[in-house]
Amino acid sequence: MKKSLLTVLAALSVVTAACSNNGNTAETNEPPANAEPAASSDPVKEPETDEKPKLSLRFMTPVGSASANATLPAADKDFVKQAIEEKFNVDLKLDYMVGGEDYKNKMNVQLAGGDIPDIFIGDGAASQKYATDGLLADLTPYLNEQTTPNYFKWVRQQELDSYQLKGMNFNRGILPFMRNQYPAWYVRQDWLDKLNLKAPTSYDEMIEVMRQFTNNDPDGNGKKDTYGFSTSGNGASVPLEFPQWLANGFVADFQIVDNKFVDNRTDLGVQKVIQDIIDINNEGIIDPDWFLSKTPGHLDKAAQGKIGIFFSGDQNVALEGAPNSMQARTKALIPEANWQPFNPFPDKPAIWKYGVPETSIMVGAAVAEKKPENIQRSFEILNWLAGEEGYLLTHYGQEGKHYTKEGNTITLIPEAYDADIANAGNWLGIYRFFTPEEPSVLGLDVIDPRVSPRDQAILKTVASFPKHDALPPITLAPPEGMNIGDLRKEMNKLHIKMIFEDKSADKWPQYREELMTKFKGREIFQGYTDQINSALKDNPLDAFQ
Amino acid sequence: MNEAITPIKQPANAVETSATATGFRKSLRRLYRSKWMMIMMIPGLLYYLLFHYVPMVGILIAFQDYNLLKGIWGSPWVGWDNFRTVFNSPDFPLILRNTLIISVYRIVFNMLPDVILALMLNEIRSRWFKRVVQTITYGPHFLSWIIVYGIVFSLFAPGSGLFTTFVRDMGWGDLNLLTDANYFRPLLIASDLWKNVGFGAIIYLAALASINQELYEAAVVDGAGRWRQMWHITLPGIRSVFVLLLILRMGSILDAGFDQVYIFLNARVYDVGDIIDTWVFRQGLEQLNFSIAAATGVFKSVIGLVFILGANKLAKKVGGSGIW
Repeated sequence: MKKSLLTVLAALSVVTAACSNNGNTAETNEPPANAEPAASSDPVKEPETDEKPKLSLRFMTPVGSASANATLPAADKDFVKQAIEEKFNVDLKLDYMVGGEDYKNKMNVQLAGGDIPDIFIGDGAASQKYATDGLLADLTPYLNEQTTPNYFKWVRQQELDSYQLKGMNFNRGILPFMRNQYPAWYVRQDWLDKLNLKAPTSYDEMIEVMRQFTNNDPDGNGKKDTYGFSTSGNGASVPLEFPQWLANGFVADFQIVDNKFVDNRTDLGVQKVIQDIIDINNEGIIDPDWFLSKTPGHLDKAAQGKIGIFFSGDQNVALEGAPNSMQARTKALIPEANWQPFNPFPDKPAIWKYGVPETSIMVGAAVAEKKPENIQRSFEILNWLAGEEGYLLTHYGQEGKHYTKEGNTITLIPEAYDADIANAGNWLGIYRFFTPEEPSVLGLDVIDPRVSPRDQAILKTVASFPKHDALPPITLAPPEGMNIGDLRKEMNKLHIKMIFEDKSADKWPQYREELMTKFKGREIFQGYTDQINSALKDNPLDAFQ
Repeated sequence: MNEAITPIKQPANAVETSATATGFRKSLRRLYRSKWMMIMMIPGLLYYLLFHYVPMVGILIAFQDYNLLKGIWGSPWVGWDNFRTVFNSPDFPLILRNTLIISVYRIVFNMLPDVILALMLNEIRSRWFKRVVQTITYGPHFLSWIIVYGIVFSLFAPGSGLFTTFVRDMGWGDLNLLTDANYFRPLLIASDLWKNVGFGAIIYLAALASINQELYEAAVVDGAGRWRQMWHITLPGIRSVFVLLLILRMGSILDAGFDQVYIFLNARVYDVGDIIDTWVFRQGLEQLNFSIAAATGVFKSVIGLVFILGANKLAKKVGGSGIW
């Protein structure tokens, strides 16, 4: 009602403006002058549109594990919140939590309770479920080149199109994602030096290093209290961080091998992966707590100097200049600590896959119906976050205070950043949910005076590790009525069972058959194959086996 | 006829109405006199109405193919289909068994220690010592399960746990209690005991305090020792409280303690630790199958009702007193 009144008023003002213009031109009879007032009427109208009614908005967003311990500061110190609220005349509440099962459950609870955030962000599987349940609004009026031009600097229209589910509306926006990936294993170089070892360049060397780290007291405290490697299984699964996956040719989660789609975690070859993990587990050269450890439990242990090798996808993890990095945390306790990246598989074509859209931006259908102005305003905010102003503010802080800007070159002022942000709850990371740390997308160059030659070398090394495009850009969704969740749960259970109970991977072919039949794995993955084939029209894949 | 009777009847009627009127007025006056009590009752009643009676409408979901968008009033009805799905699910026998076993364990191994601790505290003469022990034992009740799991984890983690390390250093081998199916239930019960025994004992202490001291004096005169006194006076004195709590526990026999189990559970102990509530949680909140979850909830409530009524009847038959 209110809105329609506004539109009527706006339309009236335009009509009257046009009329008066017409009158003007009729008098002066000068066409160019006609254009002038029409254009100048825009800035006049600006303040009018600024007096949009104040709205209360709530976004729900996952944050990375790097921000696991981050907390937002008091409202008077939160300059991002202030900037957004002033600029868009809103009350913004950010509901954030480390991404994962708990986040998903929290989101489900809110949706089930009808307490739907204006914008919520979740993984592909969750958004598929919501979309098929008819929970999601059509984003066509909100997310397009006209309304959110900045967004399209990060995500291509074509990607957005192929991300949609068949037979559904345009329900799922893609959260801007890191295209470049920076996965690497990291090793304590100081431990290597102490034991006269070299950074491993093969799987066998890596295992040997783990062995020595466990048995030969690399920290020199006279106690056998260190382990070669650790990761966090969260009491549920075998993480892909284990080098045994890659050692047996499995890159990340999916890939195409011999013109066939391969789901890495249910492939027959998993037998060898699990057997290799059992071997090092039995030998006792990995942290026995890995299975129960909850993310980032293993990193905490590594920071305490108990673990010699870990895996991370965060390019800053070993930088001495990055506040709160593993290097900084470990160094605080052990001054000589030195984490260095390495690739144990230099001969493999890829260590990981390039970034793919995995996370969806969603809007509740009920909210869009009742309060379309909320959604519109929310996308204005998202568009601003994706633009230079929002990007700079959420990644580097305030201009002049936390960084200086000359042209496209940003020079950070780390001391101010540490004082206001890193050591004040490291909260800015929470606002980075909308854009990954890729300044080049906006044509920006960032100079961090604290990036030492050591750090520069690390960044270069990590960036040089080879990645591949695992699959054509398409979203895989299980066929109607099939549940990939049940399959994955059983799969994880069986992986774990082989490692701890059977203590042998001999039964994997049998277990796998059960996953493929009873849990409909074969149908689901044939469905995936078909979906990929529909994108690769000329060169279809063979049937899934 | 009627007309003849009416004049006679009328006065009687008038008397009656005036009698009820005075009765009504009396009760009104009584109500007015205790108006503050009544007002204080309102929030409590409202709480039950709002949070326990209104949500019962949600039971309808169990008989629907519930869709979040369509809501309770728009979702299609499916009769008993959801119940069929639940009972035919391959997980169902397993989770039912686990739930019952853990529940019975809790009743046996958690109710008796409560009584024993209360009896022990009751025998303590020195007041300050009793207070100290009581405070220490009921303190853990106020910790959340997350924290308790944190403590259990740091004691029993397979690599870095305090207790595990001790056992390993003594050369007694490796321990992996948290992921061992044989130890999962005992671990649940033991940590529950540690957390709640002090709090559970409080009720019995109150019951013990209400026992007439003269009974003990008489028993002493009759030459009864400590054990005799306990057997003939103390235990009968708290029997009714024990039975009451037992009946209440019976009502929730299919609640095996979601908070605790959910946190303690890991992929290696699903077979002994997956209970109805964790399954419902997965179905309802992780996979958004609300109807299935609701049907299971209704099933649980019905069983709970049967058990609580049965236990009450049994208590009446055996001991002569129940709740109703």
